[in-house]
Amino acid sequence: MKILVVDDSKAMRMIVRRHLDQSGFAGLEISEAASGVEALAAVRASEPDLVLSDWNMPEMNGIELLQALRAEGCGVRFGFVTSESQGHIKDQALDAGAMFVIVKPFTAEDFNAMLLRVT
Amino acid sequence: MLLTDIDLHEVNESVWTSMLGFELAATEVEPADPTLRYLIGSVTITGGWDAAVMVQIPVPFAIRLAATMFGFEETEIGDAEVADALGEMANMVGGNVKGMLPGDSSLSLPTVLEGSDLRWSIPGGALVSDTFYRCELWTIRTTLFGRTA
Repeated sequence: MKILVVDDSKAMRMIVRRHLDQSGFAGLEISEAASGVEALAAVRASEPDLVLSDWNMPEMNGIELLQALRAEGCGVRFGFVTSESQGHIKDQALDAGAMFVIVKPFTAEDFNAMLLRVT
Repeated sequence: MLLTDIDLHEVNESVWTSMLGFELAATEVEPADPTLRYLIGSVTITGGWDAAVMVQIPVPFAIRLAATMFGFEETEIGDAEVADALGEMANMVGGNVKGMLPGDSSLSLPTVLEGSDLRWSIPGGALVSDTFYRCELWTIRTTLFGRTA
């Protein structure tokens, strides 16, 4: 399964990558993007099976990324990993086509539950 | 929930301990050590509530934090990694504070400031909460300022 991790914080990308690596799920192929714009290009180029995206990013934020993908007919599975925990944010994410929202700070169990759901 | 009801201890426990494994011990107000340089990571919340969250730690602990978050040795950590890591900590603490407030509001991107004897405030705002923790050899200070819109 190809997973694209999108976050403007390299530290957070590393933490997410570690959680995925340590999840015990075999065959995860993880790549990274540092912005929504970079992610849009990466999705077009490598067609990941799942995008895990931050919400607050400069230039193109996570919800704009999801909307751009859906607007061009891309139905890639998409979830947010974000410090945004307000209900209206989750509603907006799900309405736009996200499968889930994992709120930072998260635990390994949060990632395992997510992977069980999407694999 | 009102801004004054925000429990920063719960937020800090969740971010520092549950996610990163740092053990925190709440402590009384600790003046900054004049021999150390400090970093402040901050985010602002705007909308139904105007607030700002500040996380202040000494530079040596910021390097330790970045090494933990990146999974690197401390010797591999540079200024960019330190700023990235502390900015993300401010983002997580601020995001969790924002999540406790009623109504729609927006969270800024984080900023990071370095210096000695740093003083930070919001014009027209008020100090809501100022918490101090001992963590390993260092002090973590988390401050919440607020201004009712």
